[in-house]
Amino acid sequence: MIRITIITLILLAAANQNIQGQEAFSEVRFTLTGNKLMSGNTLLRSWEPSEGFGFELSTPYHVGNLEAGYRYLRFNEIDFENSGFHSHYLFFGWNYSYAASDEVALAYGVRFGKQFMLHDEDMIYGDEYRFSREESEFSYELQMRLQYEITRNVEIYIGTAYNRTIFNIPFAAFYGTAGLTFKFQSSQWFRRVME
Amino acid sequence: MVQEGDGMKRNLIILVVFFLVHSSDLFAADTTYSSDSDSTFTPKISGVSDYVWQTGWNYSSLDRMSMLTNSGDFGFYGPQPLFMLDGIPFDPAFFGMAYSQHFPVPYFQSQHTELTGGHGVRNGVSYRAGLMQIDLEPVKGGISLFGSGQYGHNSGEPGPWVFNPERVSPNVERFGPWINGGISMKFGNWYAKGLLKFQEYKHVDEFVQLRMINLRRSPTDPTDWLGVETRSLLTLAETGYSGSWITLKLQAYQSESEDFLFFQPFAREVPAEFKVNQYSALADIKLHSNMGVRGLYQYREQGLDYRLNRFEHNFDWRKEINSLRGSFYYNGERYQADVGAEYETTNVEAPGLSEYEQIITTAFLQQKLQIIPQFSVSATTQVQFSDEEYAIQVGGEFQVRANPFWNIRLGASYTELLPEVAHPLEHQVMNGYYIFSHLEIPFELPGQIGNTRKLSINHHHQFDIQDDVSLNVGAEWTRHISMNIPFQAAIYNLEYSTMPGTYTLLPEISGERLKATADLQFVPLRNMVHRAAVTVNSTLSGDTEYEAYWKMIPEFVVQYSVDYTPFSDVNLALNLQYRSETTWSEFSNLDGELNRTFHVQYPFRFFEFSDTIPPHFNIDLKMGKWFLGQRLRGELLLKNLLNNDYQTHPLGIRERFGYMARVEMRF
Repeated sequence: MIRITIITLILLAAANQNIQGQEAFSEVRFTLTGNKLMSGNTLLRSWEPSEGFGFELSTPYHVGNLEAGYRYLRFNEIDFENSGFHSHYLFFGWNYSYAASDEVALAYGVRFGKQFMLHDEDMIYGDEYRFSREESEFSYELQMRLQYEITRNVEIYIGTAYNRTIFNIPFAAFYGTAGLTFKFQSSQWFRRVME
Repeated sequence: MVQEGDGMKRNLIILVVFFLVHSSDLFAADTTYSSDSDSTFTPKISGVSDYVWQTGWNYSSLDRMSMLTNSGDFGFYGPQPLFMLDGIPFDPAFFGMAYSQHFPVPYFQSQHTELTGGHGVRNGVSYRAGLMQIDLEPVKGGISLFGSGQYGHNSGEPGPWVFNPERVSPNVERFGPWINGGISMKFGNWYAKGLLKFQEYKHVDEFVQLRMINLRRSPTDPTDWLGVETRSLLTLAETGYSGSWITLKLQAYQSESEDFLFFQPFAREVPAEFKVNQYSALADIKLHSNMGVRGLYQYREQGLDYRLNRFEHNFDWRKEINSLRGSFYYNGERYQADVGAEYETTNVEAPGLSEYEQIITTAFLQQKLQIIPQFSVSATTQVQFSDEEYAIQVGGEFQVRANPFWNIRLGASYTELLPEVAHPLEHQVMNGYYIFSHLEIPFELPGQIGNTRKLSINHHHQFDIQDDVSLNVGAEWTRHISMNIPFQAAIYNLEYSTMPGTYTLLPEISGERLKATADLQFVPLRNMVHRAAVTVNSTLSGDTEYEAYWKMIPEFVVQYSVDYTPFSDVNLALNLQYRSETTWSEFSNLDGELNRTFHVQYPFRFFEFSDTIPPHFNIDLKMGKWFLGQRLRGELLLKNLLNNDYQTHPLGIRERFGYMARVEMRF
C-alpha cells in the first residue's frame, strides 16, 4: 500500500509538469544526510535500528539528476544473541526536481542498490554449517524530498524514502531523512568522466 | 535413405541428379530473424536467453548457462542449430546441450545475432537444422583493450534471518563473477586479437541442487563435501588479413570448464570436465569483382573428462573433427550462386568404442536468380554421403515484390538427416560406447536408426506500411515424415530427486506441425524501437509420441520489446514475454511428487515437481550508461520484475527476481 501510494504520488507529480531540459553535469552536489527508520516490517521484530547517516553525490542530467550514495544504520539485536549488524546501503539513482519557486523544490526519484549487512559474528549451525557474517541483497528505494535553497551553494532538505530489500522474507522500511547539500560548479575533469 | 550397391557409381549419379535438379531452381529453405545492436552503446546480449530472443525460436535452460534450443525444425532433443561466429563455425554443445561458457565470445560483444531455421549455406558453410550466426563488432584501428566484469544473483537471500533457526533459508544462486578481457590491434588490413573469458556460477536452487547435492560427497572421504560451482576459462587468439581481394583468418581457441552436464538419457546431471580446442583457417579469395573462392579448414576436439563425484561417473569421451570446406561463389547483379563441398572426419574415443570414425562428405549448391525486378527465385540443395548412405536437403523459394510496400516469399523444403548426424550419441552407443551401462540406464534402441526426414512449406509477407512501421507475417507447415525421438521415462526418487527410467529412441515417429508468426516493428523516434511478436505453434496431427514431444514447446509466445536511447550515453531496454503452458511427458512420473530441502540447518521444506510448466509472464529491464567518452560502461539488468516463480525446464531452476550488474572498460 505504501509503495502504491508513493508511486502514485510520483506519477501524479510527473504528470503535472513539463519535463525541463538542462545542461548535463554542470554542477556537483554533495549531500550529508541524517536518517531515521520511521516504520517497517519483518526485521524490526527482532532488530532495533539506530539513527543513521549517509552522503550522496548528484549531478544534473539532460533530464532530472543522476545520483549515487551511501547510507549507514546500525541494527541492534532484540532476539538473537550477537546478531546485531551494521547496514550499508550503496545505491545509484535518478530523481527529478520540480521548482516550486526560486528557493523551494520538490524532488522525487528512484534508487537501485545493494544492502550490505555486516553482522557481529558468523552464524554457525552445529559445528559444520557456517553462514558468513557478511550478507547482502538487492534493494530499491522510492524517495521524495522538499529542498530549500539557503544560499546559491547550500540547500537544506527534508524527505522520506520507501526502501524494500528483497530478502527471502522481504524487508520494507520507511525512512525520514534530512540533510544539507553543498553545490559546486563541476570541473572539466568531472564532465569528461560523466559524458 | 540407405542404398545398396556400388557406392562410387551411386554417388556419381546422385551428384549428377543434384546438379540437374538445380538447373531448374526449385527451392529455398529457411526463415531468418535477426537483431542488431544499433551501435556499441547498446549491447543486446546479457545472458543465454537473449541469444534466442527471436520470433519463432524457443529455449529451455536448467541453469541459465546451458540451453536447449528449438528452431522449429526438430524440437529440443533433435539436431541443434549450427553455431557460427564471424563466419567460423563453433560447437559449444555436448550431447545436445549448448553451453554458453563455450561460446568464444563475451555476451556483450555479440553485436548482431541472426537465427535461421531450416537448411542452407552461409559463407560457404552448410547447415541442416538451423543456424545461429553471431557477428562481433569490427576490430578498431590501432590498439584496443577491453575488460568487463559481471555479477548478479537472484533475490531471496536470507539476510539477518540466518540467525533465526526457524526462518533461516539457503543462500541464493550467484551468477558470476563473469570476467572478460581482451586486446585487439589493427594496422592497415592486418589485425590480431586475443580474448580471455572466465565464468563462474553456483548451483543453489533447490530444484537443481538436490540432484547435485547427493553427488557432492567425496568418493574417498565421506565427510568431504564437494562444491556445486561451475567454472570455465576460455582463451582465444585470432589474426587475419582483410583486403579488397583476399581475406585470411587464423583462429584458435581453447575452453575448459568444471561443470555439470544434464544428460537427458540419465534425467539428471553428471559432473564432468569439459574441454574444447578448435583451430580454424579461413581464406576468401576474390577472382573477380563479383566472384571468388572460399576455403575453411577446422580441427575441433571436444572432451568430457572425470570430475570428482560420489558415484565416480565418468564419460571419458573425446571427439576429434577434421573438416575441410571449399566453395566457389558468384554474386552477380541478377544471379548469385555458392557451390562447394565439405569433407569431415569424426573420430570418437570412448570406452567400448573401437576405431569409431565417421567420414561425411557434403556437396552443396545455393543459387538465386532475379528474373525481373519484382520476381526472384532461390534454391538450395545439399547432399551428404557417409559410407553407403546418403541424405539430401533441397529447398526453394519464390520472392515477389507485389508493390513497393509488400514483399511475398513462398518456399518449400525437404530435409533428410543421417542417423550419425541427427543422433550421434545413440549411434556411438550402438557402436559400443557403454555409457548407458556405466550410468546404469536401462535402454532400448532400435536395431537400426533410420534417416530423419521432414517436409515443410512456408510463406511470408513483409509489409513496409510506413517508413517507421513494418509488419512481417508468415506461416510454416511442416510434416515430419520420420523422426526418432529420444525419450527418458524419468523415475521419481526422494533421495536423489530423479533416477533414470528406461531410455528409448522412439523410431519413425511422424506428424504435422503449423507455426505462424507475426512481427511488428515501430520506430517512432530515431532513438526508440518498439517490436512486438506473436508465435503460434500447433500440432495438427501425428502419433501420440509426436504430440507429446511437441508439447514441450509453448503453443503461444508473445514478445514485446522497446529499446530507447534518450541520450547518447544512456540506453534503456524493456523486454516482455508471455509463454503458454508446456508439458514434458518424460517427467510424468514426477508429477505431483515432492522435492525436499537438503540441509539440516534449514526448516524442512517441500517443493512439488510438475511435468507441466504453467504459463508465465516475464519482464526484464536493462539500463546502461557510458562514461569517459564511451570508454567505461555500467549496466544494470533487472530480471523478472514481477518476481514470478517460473521455470523453463521442469527440473530446472526457478526464475525469480534477480539482478546483474556489469562494468565494461575499453581503451
